[in-house]
Amino acid sequence: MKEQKEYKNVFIQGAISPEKIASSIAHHQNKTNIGAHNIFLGQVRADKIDKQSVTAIEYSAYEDMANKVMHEIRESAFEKFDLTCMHIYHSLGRVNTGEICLFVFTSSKHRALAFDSCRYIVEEIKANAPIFGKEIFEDQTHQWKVNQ
Amino acid sequence: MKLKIDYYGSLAETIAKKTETLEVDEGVTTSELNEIIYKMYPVLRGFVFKIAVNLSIADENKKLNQQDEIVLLPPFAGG
Repeated sequence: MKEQKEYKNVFIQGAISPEKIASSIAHHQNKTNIGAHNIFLGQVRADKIDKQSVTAIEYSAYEDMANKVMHEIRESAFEKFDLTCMHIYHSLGRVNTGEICLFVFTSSKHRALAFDSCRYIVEEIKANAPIFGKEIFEDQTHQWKVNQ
Repeated sequence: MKLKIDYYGSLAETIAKKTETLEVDEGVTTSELNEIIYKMYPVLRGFVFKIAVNLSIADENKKLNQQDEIVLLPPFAGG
């Protein structure tokens, strides 16, 4: 049977705005035990494939499992690294080239843990979160993206 | 027994269906389900996919039950 536990929702409809990222940084200014933040932003790239350019990626996800996987990644990151704070957001739906689709924000006392944990989280998301991306070309045809 | 199967991404697009219920033998395993799906949809033979059971990627010999949440997942593209 499927477990009924509710996991935190990491998904945002559409692109992640620079304002959201800025306000997220501002929200940490009262946490004065933090000495280092690290931020990873995934941006939709205008890849050229067979002379056609990608104009957007339309994201979909098996959301229940993706939120569970994100929860597990969060738990394991807190176990591996001495973090003060961690946030993960991912887009759903259409994100145009140049816009942000992934926002990972780690905070710690010192830089090494913030750097290392952020990379760990991004790699885990790419490998294990059931998120799918349809690359939309200029003529509205598409192909399905696969992570390297 | 009946198994409800959900399809995502390129798989759902290719077979033009997001969900369906299949009648299968009691105690069928994930790898046997794989074969059943390939027989129903030969077009999927060229596709790489994983089977998730109750929100986790399943081993190929996992026995399936009627109340399981079974989902076919194409390659991931998050980030």
